[in-house]
Amino acid sequence: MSTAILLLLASAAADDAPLKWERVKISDATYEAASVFDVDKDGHLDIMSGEYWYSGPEFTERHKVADIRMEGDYYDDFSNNPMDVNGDGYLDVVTGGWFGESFQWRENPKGGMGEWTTHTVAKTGNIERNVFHDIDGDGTEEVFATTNPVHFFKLNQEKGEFDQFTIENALGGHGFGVGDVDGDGHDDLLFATGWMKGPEDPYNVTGYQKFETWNLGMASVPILLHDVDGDGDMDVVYGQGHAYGLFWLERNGDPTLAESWTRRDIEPKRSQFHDVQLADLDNDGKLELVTGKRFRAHMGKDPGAADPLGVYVYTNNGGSFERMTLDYGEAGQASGVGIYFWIEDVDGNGWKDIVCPGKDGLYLFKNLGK
Amino acid sequence: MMRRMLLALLIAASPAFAESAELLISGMRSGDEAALIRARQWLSREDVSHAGLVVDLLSHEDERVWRTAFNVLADWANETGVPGREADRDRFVAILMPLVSIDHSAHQIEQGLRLLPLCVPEGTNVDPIAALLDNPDWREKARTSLQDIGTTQARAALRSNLGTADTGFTIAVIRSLDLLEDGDSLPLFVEYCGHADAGVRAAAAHALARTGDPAYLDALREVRKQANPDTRWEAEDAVVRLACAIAISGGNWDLSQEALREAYADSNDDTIRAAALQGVGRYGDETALPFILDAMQRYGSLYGPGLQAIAALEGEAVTEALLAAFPEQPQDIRQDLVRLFGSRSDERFLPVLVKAAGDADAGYREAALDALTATGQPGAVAGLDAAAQYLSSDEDPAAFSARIIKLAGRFESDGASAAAGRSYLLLYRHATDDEQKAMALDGVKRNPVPEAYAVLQESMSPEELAALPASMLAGVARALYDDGKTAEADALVAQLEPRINDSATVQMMIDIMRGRGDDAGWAQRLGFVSRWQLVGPFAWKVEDAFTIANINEPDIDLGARYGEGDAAIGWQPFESGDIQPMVNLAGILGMMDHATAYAYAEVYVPEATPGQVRVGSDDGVKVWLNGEAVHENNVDRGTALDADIAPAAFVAGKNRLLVQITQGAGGWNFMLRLCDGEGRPLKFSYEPETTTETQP
Repeated sequence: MSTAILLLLASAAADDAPLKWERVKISDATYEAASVFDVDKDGHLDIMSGEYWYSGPEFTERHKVADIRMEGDYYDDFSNNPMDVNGDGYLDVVTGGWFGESFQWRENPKGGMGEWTTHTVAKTGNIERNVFHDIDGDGTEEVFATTNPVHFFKLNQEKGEFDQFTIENALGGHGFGVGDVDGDGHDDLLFATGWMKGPEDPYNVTGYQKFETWNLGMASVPILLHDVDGDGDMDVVYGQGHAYGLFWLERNGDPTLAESWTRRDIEPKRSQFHDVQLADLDNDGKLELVTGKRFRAHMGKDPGAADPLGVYVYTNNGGSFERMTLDYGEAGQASGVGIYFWIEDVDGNGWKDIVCPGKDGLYLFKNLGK
Repeated sequence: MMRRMLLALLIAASPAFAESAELLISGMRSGDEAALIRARQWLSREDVSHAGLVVDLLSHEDERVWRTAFNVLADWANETGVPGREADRDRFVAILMPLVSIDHSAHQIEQGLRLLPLCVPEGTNVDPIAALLDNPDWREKARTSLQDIGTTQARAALRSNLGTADTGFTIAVIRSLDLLEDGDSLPLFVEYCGHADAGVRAAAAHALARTGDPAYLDALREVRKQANPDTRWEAEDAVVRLACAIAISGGNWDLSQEALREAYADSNDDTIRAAALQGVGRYGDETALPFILDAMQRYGSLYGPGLQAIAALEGEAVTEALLAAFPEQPQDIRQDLVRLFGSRSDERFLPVLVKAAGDADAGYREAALDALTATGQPGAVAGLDAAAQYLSSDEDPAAFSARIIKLAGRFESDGASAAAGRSYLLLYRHATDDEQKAMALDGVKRNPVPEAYAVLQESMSPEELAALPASMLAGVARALYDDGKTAEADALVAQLEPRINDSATVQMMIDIMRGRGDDAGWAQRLGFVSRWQLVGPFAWKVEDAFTIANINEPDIDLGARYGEGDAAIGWQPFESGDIQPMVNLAGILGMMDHATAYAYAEVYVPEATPGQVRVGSDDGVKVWLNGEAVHENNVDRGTALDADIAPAAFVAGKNRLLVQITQGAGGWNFMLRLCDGEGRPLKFSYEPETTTETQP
């Protein structure tokens, strides 16, 4: 190889260069949730999505997990979070569904091979998508399933069971998040129409206090808390799950007052941002906002349903968001992100990758760095 | 069976069937025409071990012989290529491969190079062919042969040749490996992007372009930068191709768009610019629009590609960007954009299209009308209306009305009845002949709209208006009521009422007037009898028909009771307030099978008149008028409006109606209308007309 070409290729590593990506189609499967973990403990991360898991590092071989109920073009499987529920050393999968109205987990048959037993923990009502958050600071995430009442579950690994807690008369609606809104050190709950201030003991289910401070519409799950403008307080970041728009609410003043929150545009003309996540993809120490379209979120009936799909990474410059488009186009040419996508350094190259499930197929966007 | 035996005999009798492969080959050598035909037909079915003898005939001096030999070998190549014959194929390839050694005749080598791609499988050593790559006389045909073989070994042979030949042949080999999408060649292609020869660099860049790997983009940019006039086009094309492939591969959309725009900006070639522009559109978002519009204005040659690029853009943001950019564009671009808007079927483009349809510029107007016709949006009618002002000047009336007809037809087939009705009204106003007027009126009849009232009043004489079908006017009346134009609707109904003379119009009037405040009054205006005295049930069998008198009919006594004791039954009054008064006997007398009942009514008619009794019943029915049987139908059926029509003569003053309704099973009911001799609802009352005597 000539010196000139080597120099050219090396120049791609410049710090200000954009991230480069490699898109790999893992499967045509149309499950909308995915996660990444070492299913069989062989030292390689695997991809879990719906009825199958795909063994890493190649992801070309798939293994059956379980039959999952299908409704129209949905599968009743709206999150795929790994948790070792029964403490056997193998990560299981925690999920839930809209149609079955049940909070469930699927038991890893110690290595992934063979049918995974599905355990129904509770009949909770429609689950739009579980939200996982360590609300008691013990290092293990609790699982929030519904928005009104708020049914949430704490893992009791010794028993291999979940303890259920219920906050009655919550704010409900489409969209949910957990985080410390007011900076008092206790996690609060975020809804489409406001937030509920959390008590010192998060399991004191009658101690949550409502503040109907905003109307986010059919908000994403999760609704995120992030200091967007760097002013030291928490702002709200959310997408429209079934309509146009990706926004943030700037907080200025008392968070319990509606006038303290001002909506700012991030991406007003693209639609169906059902899942939004924050991650440092370019290793600069700052979080990027990662999201995209949930293809056929309401079976083609949402505003913008016919618009192109996309996967987007937004860098935040103090409230001014700049979009990096990874994918854009019609289904088949481009990918969306489904209802529960996953960010993880799948290939161990030091750069976080994105696994995008959805009704357009299952894709891995490998982050090649700069 | 006979035919099969005959066929078997014929085959057995065929001389060729009996000939051995040796005889067939021997016959070929003779050059005998029949022998050549037989050999072609039968030889390839023989064992491939005979192929060697046929190979020898490739050198035969008689062209007919060597061509037949070639064809037989080609047949062998194809026939041994099927699954299950791998061993035969390998033996056959082993016989053919030596043909290409340099110690054979040129003719044999050439035929060998042609035949081997037909049969060489994966895993076969192709060194004899590869050896020819170093022979100036044979390298081109050997390259083609290896390219056609395309196996791992063929690709490796081609790859090994890279760097050993002059630049012209190196380029050819790169193109072969590019065609074969040889992944193992990619590092070599990267290396050759730095080759001293610009043609080699361009070919290597082109070969890398298909990968869609953004890692190669900078290398290809450098090849483009270093290109000479002869290779610049290919080098630029490679960048465009790679940028498009990056978009298709996914994950690096921004990079793809940046590379396409850069390729456009760096080129002076229209085809490269056009390709880049179309790539920007095909994979782009709303940010591509200003870029494309600018290119269209800069270069006339990019006008068409630019339009195609805009047409490929999709999404909400694109729609808004188009609407925002539209007013700022020159007339020619706006004219083509309005055609594009028509294909998008988005109502937000309608105001632009409607305005354009009223423009004084005929070409611009034509484009808008095309778009409005294509859009299928109900609001398109307003645009055609706006364009109608030019009918007296430069708008062709025939073409204009044809356009309206097309639009109306589309609305109707889409189920957009109101838009269809308005289109037909427009057609009526601008019809060029009576046939179109009739078509328009028929369309309005099928798709009545409130606007029809004013249009018809304005454009028709009272006589013409009177000649319109009653059902059409009824539809317009309903549209007026639905639109809140009660006064106009009442006026139209008043014009219409004297003309109600058929069941369809009656049904339409029922649908229109139901629930508008006077259902009972309208029932009587439509001729329905709503007040009855009823008696029943009486036992009845189908075979009884109407032969058994249960109440001494037709001479009845409303005070009589029938039966014994507590089971005796008498007459009971019934009155319906419904606009279509159905007497539901099953509801009143109870659900039962095999029964009959009677209904009696008195109506007063101002003067004697011939007329009709129209009755629908479930099941059979018999009607007496003033003691005379006027109708009888012993039938098992459901009720329908005016199912039976019987002539009847009404007398001045009181008329007595007696109806017997039979019941087999299921529903049991009837409804009855009185009409004059023309089928119009009969004017009657339930009480005698009172006359006031005045003192002289």
